[in-house]
This record gives sequence, structure tokens and C-alpha cells, in this order.
Amino acid sequence: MKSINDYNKVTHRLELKKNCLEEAINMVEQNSKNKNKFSKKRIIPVFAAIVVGCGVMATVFADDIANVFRKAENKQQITAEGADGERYTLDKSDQLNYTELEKHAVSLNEEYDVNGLKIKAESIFCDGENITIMFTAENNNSDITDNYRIWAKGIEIEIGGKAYNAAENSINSGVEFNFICDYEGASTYTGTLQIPLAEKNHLTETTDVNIHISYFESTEAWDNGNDLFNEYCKENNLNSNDSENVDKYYSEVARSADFQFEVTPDTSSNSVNSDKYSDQEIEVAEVKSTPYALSVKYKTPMEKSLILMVYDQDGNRLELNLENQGEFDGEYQTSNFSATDSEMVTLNFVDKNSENLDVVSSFEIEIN
Amino acid sequence: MKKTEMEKIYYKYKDIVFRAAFSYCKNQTMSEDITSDVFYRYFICKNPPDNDEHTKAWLIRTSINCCKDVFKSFRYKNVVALDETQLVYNTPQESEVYEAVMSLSPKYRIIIHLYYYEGYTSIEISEIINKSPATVRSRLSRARQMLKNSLGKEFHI
Repeated sequence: MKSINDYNKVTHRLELKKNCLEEAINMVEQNSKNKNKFSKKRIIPVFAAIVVGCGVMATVFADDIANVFRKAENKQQITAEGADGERYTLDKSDQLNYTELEKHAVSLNEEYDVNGLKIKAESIFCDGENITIMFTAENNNSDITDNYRIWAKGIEIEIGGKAYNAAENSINSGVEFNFICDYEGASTYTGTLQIPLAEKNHLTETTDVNIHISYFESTEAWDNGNDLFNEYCKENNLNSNDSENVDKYYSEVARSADFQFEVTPDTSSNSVNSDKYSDQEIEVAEVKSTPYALSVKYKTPMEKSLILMVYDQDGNRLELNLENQGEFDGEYQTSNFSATDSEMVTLNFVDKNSENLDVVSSFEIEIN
Repeated sequence: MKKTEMEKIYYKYKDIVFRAAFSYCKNQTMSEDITSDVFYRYFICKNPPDNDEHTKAWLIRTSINCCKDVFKSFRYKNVVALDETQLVYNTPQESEVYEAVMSLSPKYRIIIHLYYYEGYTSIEISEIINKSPATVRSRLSRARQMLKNSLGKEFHI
């Protein structure tokens, strides 16, 4: 006899393996430090500068490329207060090394005004295998009430005439990214779009890129999307179960934007170490360094729960790029970490089930 | 909030938060990250709930919201996570029923979890997930039907 009680029994055996308390307390302490960053002492001069200067628009769009990168780097993690009075940590999770990207990116200056939301493609970088585009935005649209994060959705990309979103051309066919505000209460934002290219579509020459963003959405719109749609149907006497009305709804509320530009791959800073390293059935097949990422191709025995941690020559840990972690080709895993200018990296394979994250195997590998 | 108060809250509700997150996102690592995030949000909340029941409901609601955030993220949609959750089944029926529930879409799974595991009523669930009681009842009814369809006549709910 099967019953729902079987579900309850299995659920009751689920256990936390991580010490979440420690992590939560660490975040509270971090939040407390960040709060000081947003004190009046810091914010007032910013507003004063805006009033004295040429306004927010001019402040943002007069930025040189280095400033944009610096802003983006600062915003990999900020905190902001939501409408409900809670403070949220906003993490872009991209873990890109903006200092490395800044040295190689090319300015774009493609601007688009979307019903009060001014979007600008600021700069682009391509290492042949990935395209990274930096955007800034200024929100003067009163419909977008969320003041700390805006999502860009329904993105269609065409690279060299090929539809990137098509499964055969893409590693990640569902693409979206989000803009994070500059500081609490600001109406200016930065967002980064990462486009990892499938091997057959790696770029070697200047290529046209077309990007269509179907709509921009605040977190509030996402959370209450169904309610907003139902409200719209009620107001317009439409059937909310009819999918055509969904399209109609988005065609009316969506604010689409189109960008067209060229990208020239810059592989001058790419370096690859293809020497094979192995120990205890762990094999490192390739380590590649570019301004976009440090990529490690490796395999580990299936029966072991190992994770890879990477450190530069000064012992700094390189973060895994959460938006583009890499791929598994059936035999080898490729993982992307934040870029480094280090000449040597240490790869530690650690047992994730051990209490102290014991290092099972370690490799020192030259990369530059 | 003092550290001792944080510890007290954490140890009292950690399993409830983690299991609600797991029922929504089906992934051990993500559920653990969400658990950390939920308690962090609670610890810095300016006006925390004033009693046990409200605290529990607040934590579950925040867990679900955090799961939604993860679901809409680029990371979740584009990266296939290697989930190493060690589920313990004592009978084949447990495995079959659990997997049938987990194969439902999140909006149905969470209703089943809150109704049958946490023992909430449809009105209480409606307050937690911010939907009308009628919506909750209709989702519960559809979820039951889907489970009956996939588990056959031997399944009783």
C-alpha cells in the first residue's frame, strides 16, 4: 500500500549537512559592515554631486570604460532595503574579474531608451570562446518600482547570422541577466551579459552581434506576475487561460530593446597549459587562462565526492563563476573560475564530505 | 539580535526551513544555501514575527521566496547541478511515492509539503504563499489527482 505518509517519512530523514548558522551569522556581520558603507556621510556627497553636476543621466553616461568596470566590480555584492523593510544581499554571482576584463574590453556606446528605462551597452570583450557585454541603465520609468534589481528577459541573440538561442548553437540557450543598482536608492544600474559559445561557434574574426531584449522586469513584477496578468485580463475583459492573451499582455507591457554591434575576438592574452597531471585517479587535462576566466578541464573518480578549489600564486582563492560554471562532456568536467594574472595556480581537490574539507590531491600548475 | 537568540531560533526551525526549501528546489546544496539565506534575513529583520506560529510561517514563506529567486536565476536555468542528495528509502513504496511527489511542478509540490508534512490548512497555506484559499484548494486537488494518476490505484492519500 502506498500513501502520502511515505513522502513524509523520507522528508523527515532529510538532514542539513552544512553549518548554515555560521554562514548566516557571517552574513549578518558582513551586512553590518556594509551598512556603514551606505551611511549618510557617503550618500549625501553623491546626491550633492548629482545636483551640482548635470544630473544622473550625464553622470552615468559620461563614465569612461574603467569607471563602468569599477562600478560593476563593486556591485558583485551590495545590500539594499526592500519595500518590505528587509535588507537584501544582492549578489551578481558572476564572479568575473573586472580588473582583468577592463584591460581588454572595447567600448561600444550603443544606447536605447525604453519607455523611461535608458539602457546602454558600454563595452564588450570576446576571448574567442565567450562574449561578455557590460550594460548600464538608468530607470526613470515609474512602472518599474523595484529600486535595486531589474531583470532583462526574453533575450534573443544572433552571432554572425546564427541564432545563439538555438539548441544546436548554444551552450546556454536560455539567456537572461540582471541589473543591480549602484547603491541603495539609486536609479542607475550595471548589468553583465555572459555568452559562452559552443565549440563549433568559437570566433576567430570580427563578427556581427544582434541582441534583442524582449522586456525588462522588476523583482516585484516577477513575484506578483500572475496577479498582474490576472488584473490586466480582468480590466480588459480577457480570458486569463488563453495563451494568446499572455502574448498580448507582454506585447503591451514589455519594453523591448535591440542592440547591434561588431565583436572582434582578442586572444592575445589567452594561454593554455595542456600538460596532463594525474594523481589518485584524478586527472587535470588542461588549464586555460583568459581575461574572461580561468578554465580547468579535469576528471575525478565518480565514487568520490570531490570539489575543486583553485588558488592563485598569492594564495587567494579564485571564485567559481556561478553564471557560467562550465560543462561536462561525458568524460571531463570543465569549470570556470574568475580570471587571474597569476603565473601559477594551485588546484586542490577536496573531499566535500570531510569535516575539514581535506585535500585529497593538489597540483601546482604554471599558466602564463 | 544576540548570538544566543540566533542559535535558539536556528536549532528550533532549521529542519523546517531546509525541508521546505528541498521540497521546492530538490537540491541539497541549493537548499542549504537557501537555509543560510533565510536565517540571515530573519536575523536582520527589523520587525520579526511575534510568536512561534508566525515565525514558522515567516520562515517558510521566505524559504519559498528564496527558492523562486534561485529558480529565476541564470545559474539555475542554465547549469545542470550535480545533486548528491543522499535520500534514505526504507521501502520501495517510499521511493515511488517520494519520487512521484518530487516530479510534480514546484507549485504543486510545495502545497503537498505544507498540507501533508507541515499539517497546515488550506487557509494557512494561502497566507504563506500569498494566494487565495480557492487557488490552494484547486492546486491541492490537482496535485492529488496527478499523484493518483502516476501511482495508480494502490495509492491512498
